[in-house]
Amino acid sequence: MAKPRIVLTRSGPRQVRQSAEVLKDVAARASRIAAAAGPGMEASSQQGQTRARASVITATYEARRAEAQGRALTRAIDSGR
Amino acid sequence: MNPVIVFPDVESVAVGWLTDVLPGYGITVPVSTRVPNPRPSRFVRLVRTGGPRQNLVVDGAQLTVESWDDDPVSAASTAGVVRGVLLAANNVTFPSGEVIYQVREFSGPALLPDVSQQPRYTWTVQVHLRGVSL
Repeated sequence: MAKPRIVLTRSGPRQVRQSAEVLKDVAARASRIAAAAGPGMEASSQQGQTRARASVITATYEARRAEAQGRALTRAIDSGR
Repeated sequence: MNPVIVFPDVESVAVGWLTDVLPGYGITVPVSTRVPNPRPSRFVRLVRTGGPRQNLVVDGAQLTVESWDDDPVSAASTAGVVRGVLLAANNVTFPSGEVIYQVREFSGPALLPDVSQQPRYTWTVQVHLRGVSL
């Protein structure tokens, strides 16, 4: 019986990481985290050089205060899982 | 019915671990889950900030650690030792039965003074603890 031969397409994983579907997924996760963290949290997403990425920032003084005092953003990370 | 699994209180386990071990590394600061009252100039605070179960018997508790001091250098120094001690807690079994399988760093230490402007270094780890069947 012939041995199976596996050929890895090195560009394949990068194509997946940069796909519109992955960008949509990470953007949705960031939005859920921002929503759970409360007012003043701002989600954004972008296509990076090697992968799609998203982030959530404390965009207002109240949001920064909520994170510094009560960990509002840190506690909301699970919403993005 | 499936087995009912409960997990140890990660805050109690971590506070106990740090309270026992830190003095051996020259760090004698109060370690608790609340800001002590009266408030000392140096202290370490731990708070669970989430973290889902990893599988049937392993919890993935997300633990945020804060190291407070009068100046940023001292806060960073204490944070460095606390960080090292926590990350050394892999495969530790406590006399009371709790088991820590692994401590993973979620985010590294960052200087984040609170509204009082007292220097505070903070970071977050994920602690994998074994649960027990009721």
